[in-house]
Amino acid sequence: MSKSHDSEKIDMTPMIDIVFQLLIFFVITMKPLDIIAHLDVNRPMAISGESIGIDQFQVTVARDGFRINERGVSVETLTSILGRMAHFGKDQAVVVACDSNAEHDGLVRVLDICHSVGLHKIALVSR
Amino acid sequence: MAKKVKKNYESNIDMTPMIDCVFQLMIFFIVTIQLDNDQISEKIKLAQSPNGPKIEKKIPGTMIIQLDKDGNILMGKAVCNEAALRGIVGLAVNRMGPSQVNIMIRADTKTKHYYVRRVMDICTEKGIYKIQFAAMKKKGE
Repeated sequence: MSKSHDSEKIDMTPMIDIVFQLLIFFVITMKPLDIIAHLDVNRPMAISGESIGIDQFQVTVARDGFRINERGVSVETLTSILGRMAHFGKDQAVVVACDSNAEHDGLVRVLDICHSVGLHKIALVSR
Repeated sequence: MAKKVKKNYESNIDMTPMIDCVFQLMIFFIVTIQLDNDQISEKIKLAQSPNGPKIEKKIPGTMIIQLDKDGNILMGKAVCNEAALRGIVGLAVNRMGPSQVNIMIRADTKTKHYYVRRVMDICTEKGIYKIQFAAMKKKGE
């Protein structure tokens, strides 16, 4: 009785089908990764409640918008002022004061503007 | 003159390397999906920061503290209170020293600063003065 050569081969087709289906499933369900930024701030080492000197350049994040040295400004004005400040020196410190009832989005916006103009020395105080 | 004998070669392709590759791709996808979902809560919507420097690689000693829009503190996917957070931060500071602990706050875009301040105060209490905020540079399409 002769032994057939065909009987020794394993049919790989179903396995390949399954593997491809699994691969397609993972590729479709995979969510592309978000690119996350890190915005670094320094907390002043002062005792809580101690006031910051008014002579420093201070950006305030309020619930209803932004203020520079207590004067209300738009985002465009804020960008322009910070840009001009950065033009004189990138090492200048910016004090960002955030109101307790302000949303986190506002703070991130100011920090983003600071980074866009090249100001990296940011001190964050809470009010 | 000798007659040429035409051999009947079987035209079977060796599938083994392809299957190896496909399996390796699958393992890669499974492993990467698992790693990314470990520490991050999907409920938190990060504020946009297109100009912020992107996170290139994980800094050793980074502690991610998450705050949802209601001000709840989340460590990983578990909610914890201020006392527990104080304990965790204190433990890390005692083990590595305050300069080696890197705090990253992932706060929701709608979180009131009052809650962020509470977390920052706990860190400052433990001697950590440098704090990072996570923001969305570019959303994965």
